[in-house]
This record gives sequence, structure tokens and C-alpha cells, in this order.
Amino acid sequence: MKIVLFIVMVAFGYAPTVQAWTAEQLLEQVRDRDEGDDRRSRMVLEQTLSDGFVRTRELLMLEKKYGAERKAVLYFTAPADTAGTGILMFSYEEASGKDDDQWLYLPALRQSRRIATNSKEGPFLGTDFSFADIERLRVSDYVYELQGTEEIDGRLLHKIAARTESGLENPRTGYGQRTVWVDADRQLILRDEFYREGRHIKTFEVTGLQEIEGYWTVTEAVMTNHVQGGFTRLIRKDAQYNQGLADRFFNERTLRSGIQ
Amino acid sequence: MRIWKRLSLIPMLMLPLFAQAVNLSGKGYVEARQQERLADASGRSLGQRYEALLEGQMAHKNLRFDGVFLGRYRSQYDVANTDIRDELGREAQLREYYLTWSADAFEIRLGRQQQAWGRADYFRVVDVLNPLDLREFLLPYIDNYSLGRTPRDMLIVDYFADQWEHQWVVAPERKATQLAPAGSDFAMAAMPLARPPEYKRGDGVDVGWRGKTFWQGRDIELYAFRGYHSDAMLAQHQGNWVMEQPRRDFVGASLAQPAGDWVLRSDVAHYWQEGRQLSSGIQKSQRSTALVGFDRNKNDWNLNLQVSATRWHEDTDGDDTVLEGSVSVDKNWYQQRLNTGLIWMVNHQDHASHLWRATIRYNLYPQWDVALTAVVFDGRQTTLFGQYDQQDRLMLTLRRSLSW
Repeated sequence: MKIVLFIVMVAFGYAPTVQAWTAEQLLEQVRDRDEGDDRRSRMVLEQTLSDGFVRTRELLMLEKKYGAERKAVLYFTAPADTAGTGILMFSYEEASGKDDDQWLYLPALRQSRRIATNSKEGPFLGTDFSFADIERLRVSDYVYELQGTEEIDGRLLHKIAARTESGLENPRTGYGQRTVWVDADRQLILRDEFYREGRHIKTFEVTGLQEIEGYWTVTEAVMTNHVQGGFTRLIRKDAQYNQGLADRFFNERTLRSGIQ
Repeated sequence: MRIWKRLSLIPMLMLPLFAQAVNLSGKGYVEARQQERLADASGRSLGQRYEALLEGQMAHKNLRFDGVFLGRYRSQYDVANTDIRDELGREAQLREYYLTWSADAFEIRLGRQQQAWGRADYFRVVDVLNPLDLREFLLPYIDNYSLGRTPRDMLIVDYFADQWEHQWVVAPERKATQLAPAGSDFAMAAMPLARPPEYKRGDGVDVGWRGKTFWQGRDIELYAFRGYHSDAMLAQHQGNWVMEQPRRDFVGASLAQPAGDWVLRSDVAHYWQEGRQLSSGIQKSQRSTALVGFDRNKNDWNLNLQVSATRWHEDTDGDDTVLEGSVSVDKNWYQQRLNTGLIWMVNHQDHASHLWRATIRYNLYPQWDVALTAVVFDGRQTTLFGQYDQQDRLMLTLRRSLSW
């Protein structure tokens, strides 16, 4: 039956090429891709400033899926001046239109603070990543145009131009335009260029990718800042999937007590 | 009390257990500070201040032991004469040591610790469980709330139900706010040179409950507390002046809710039994306090505004309404390795008084920071901040953070 179907498709010029998807569909697949029920990983954020100063932060990250919702805890373990800081994030289904909920725990206060999440253009802990760059993809932020395919590092990727409907900056992300390269097979964005007021300000590139327990996992990515100079490397270590992480980890108390 | 001290030995007894598969971690800092006066004031030169803080954690499965050690040296008080008490000269203390047992629905903490309640900064509407260390007034508290609070022996039980989290606190050891000794920079103007003896009324146990829920994007907390004021006040007992901690009972609530680019946070409380220091002694009165604050965090600019009003229900000759407020602006210039901050606090009871604090911090090398801070007090001598009008200061601090 599959062979017959294949012959019919070829006869009608409908080969399963990389252009079978719309840009929105490709990005929805990226947004909804299977990342397991939960994931535990160790992350390193290594930021190199334009003057060569290197700032490194280490953190533990727990993520868990609750239907269409996701919860995540980031707990900083190093360096000493950041250790003990924690962030709890609840992200909701895009269709619900709800903003994320976030809490920041500061050990010097011994209290957690609620954070406003409707604007995410600010830097994530001073790095070249913004809060918008690390949040779950929101397809409705932009309108898209599929611009064919390009081969990068031996992979055939879909090139997608994204821009806001109004032509102005998206007030939540701070970007007016993006150019995105999507690996449709692995359902991942491998390169992303960000524009503000028509100026190319940042470039995101995946520099390490590994299949771990059946899930394609970005093990290293770089965000280059074209305005300030400098770049930030995001390294993911020891990713473990489907660990049966308890609900109690996705709670403010974890921010106080930390993750072992 | 003896039983309580024995309980605090539990972590020591658990050491062999931990030795098997223990997870050890720690962090801290050492800092040196040079201080100069900005105003002509009597007293010794501020000189140097050194501080070391070490925090350690041992974890084994669901059990964890936390310890915090603090050491300080202040050259200004390194004297032993009759004018200035030398108790501020140097100190070394194991500030916190407590054991935590965690399960899915429970968490139990036992030992010397601190517990923060409420959503307010600087103003303690419901954050009453730990007294303050005011020996250097609010300056350490503004820098680091956890150092401003005085840890005390407590049993804290958290129960995590589906919709609500419940916290019960029992503090069997009564502790009072630490005040600056006579002759030191931040000694209160009204305090007698020789402090009267402590007088304890009642059993001394503080008990508290906090219920917490997350409802339609809002953080809501409710509180109930029955115990004693954390400040020891002057009272007449059998014709003699004594220091006594009056009874304190209250109910309160907190709210935190995002609204656009802002986060609204609020604490309210009604104290139906509270003590107030008057010149004639302690007046028992009800009081109500409400605080509203707004935070805005955008592009590493952090703005915080707070307004608080307290109404004492028993009349006195003075003003029975206290208004307080604060504005805090902070900016991280990560690319320049700089952090700048400005805090303005105002207190109005009869007259207004102010505290200003400006800081600029530079990240010299990884884990090395240098900071320049100016603190200015303003107001009449009878007011909260104005009594320290001569204590304006400039501080240069070098800090090395460390972890293991």
C-alpha cells in the first residue's frame, strides 16, 4: 500500500520534499515537538564581553510537561555571587493567550519575587540571550514567508522570514523581524537572526546537537551580539529525559531549598 | 530550653549518616570596607570594617543540613573603655544551623533559622518572625535582608495541599531586636545609657500560620500570629524600669499580581494586640498597617515604589498615623560590568525624615567586586532617620565571593 501511494505521489509531482510544509506549520512543529514528559539538565552560560571579560554561570534546569502547559525551574549553582538564585516559570498554551508566570528567588532576601512577563526583551541575567529568546516559541508573534531551503553544515534547512504584522517591534520580544532556519526532520531552529528597526542585532546558532534517549537535544548554542559586541555560549550537559520528576520540584519551595 | 538545645545537636549526630552519600556545597564572601564620615560628628573615625560570611549545605536524600557562619571586625569599636562598648568590635557566630526533611507533601525545618513573611521591601508589615539586628541601624538590612534579621530557634512545618500551602511556625525561644550599644554611632537618642534589666512576661512562645495559594495569576497569602513583639521596650514593673517584650497578635494578608509591565504587591495587617513605646512606658493598642508597592523590571532597569500607612487606634499626644515610603531604582549595566542603585526612604510621624543611599558597583574580575556607597540621613533629631543626621557616610567596599 505504501509503495502504491508513493507511486501515485511521484506521478502527480508530489514527492515528499522539504517544501511540503508552510512556514507556520514548520514553526508549530518546532513549538510542539516531543521533548519527553520531563527533562533534567545542567547548563553553563559562558558570556564573553566585547572587552574579553568572561563571565560564567552554572545552573540546574528541570522541565516538566503538564498537558499543553510547561513548568521549569532554573537553579543557579555557580559562581558564588549568583549561587542560590532560582527562577520558576509556568508557560501556557499559546492559544490561551496567557502570559507566562515567573518567580525569582533571591537568597539575600530569602524571598521570591513575582516578575512581570509581558515584556521579555530585556537580557536574561545580563547575557546576550533575552528572556524572549529562552521562552517557548510563540508562532503568532509574527507573519511568515518561506524563502526556500539552504544547506548549512550538511543539513538542508528551511529558511523563513518572519516579521510583525504592523512592521513595528513586537512589544513583548523587542524584535521587528527575524530570519529563521528550521531543520524540519529534527523540528529544531538551528539559526536565527534578530532585527530591531531594520538593524541586524543578534544571531543565534546551534553549534552542538546530539540525540539523547531518542530526543534531539541542543547541547551547545551561541548568541552573538552585533550591537554591543561579545557573545554568550549556552552549553547543556547531562540531559536526562523522563526521570519522573515530582511535582514538588515545580514550586516556590524548590527555589528556597534548591536542587541537589 | 534545655530540650531545645539538645534538639539543635541533631545535625551533629547525623554526621555519620551523611558521611556515606552526602552532597556538600557552600558559598560565601569576604569583604573589606573603608568608611569615612560625610558630616562633622563626635566619636571615633569609622575606619575599617571586615566581614566574612560562609554558608554550607549537606544533603542526603530527603535530609539537609544548612549552616551559616558570620565573622565581623570593626576597627572603630576596637576599644574597651567606658565611653564606647566594645561589643561591636568583633564577633563570630554560627548564625543559622537547621535541619530540613522534605517529602512530597511536607517539609519540616528544625533549628536556628529565619523565615521571611510578606511581599514588602524594607518595611516589615507581616515579616515578624525574626527580630532585627539594628546595631548598625538598617544599613546591613538594606544590603542583605538575611543579615539584618536575627535568626532564632524555630520549628517550621510546611504542608503542600493541592490548592493551598500551609505553614506552621513555633518559636519557643524569645529573642529581641538587637539595639546599638550606648556610645555607638547608631545608638537611639531616647535609650538610657545603662539599659534596665530584661523582664519576661508569659511563656515566650511565638506561634504563626501562613496559608498560601496561587489563584488566577495572583499570589495570595494569609497570616495569623500570636506571640510577642520583637522589640524590647521600657516599662515600669513594681516601680522599676525594665525591658519587656509586649504581646503581639495579628492577622494579615499579602498579594502579588502582574499588571502589564508592573507587578503590584501588597501587605496588610491588623494587630489587635500590640505594644507601643511611649515616654510613660508601653501602651497597649491595636494598629492597622497597609502597604502597596509596584515593581517594574525592564531592560535591566528595576524600579520599586512603596507606600505604607499605619494607624494606631489608641490616641496619644503625638500623631497616631505613621506614613512611610520608598523609591528604589537599580540598573545593571552588564556590558560595562557596572551596577548602580539609588534608594530613598521616607518616614513621617509628626515630621518627615529621610534616608538616601547611592551605590555604584564594578565587577573587577570574576568574583571580585568593588563598590562605592554613600548614605545620607536627614530630618529632625526626634525622627526615625533624623536622629542619625550626623552619621552620613561614604563606604568603599572590596568583596571576593567564593564557592566550593
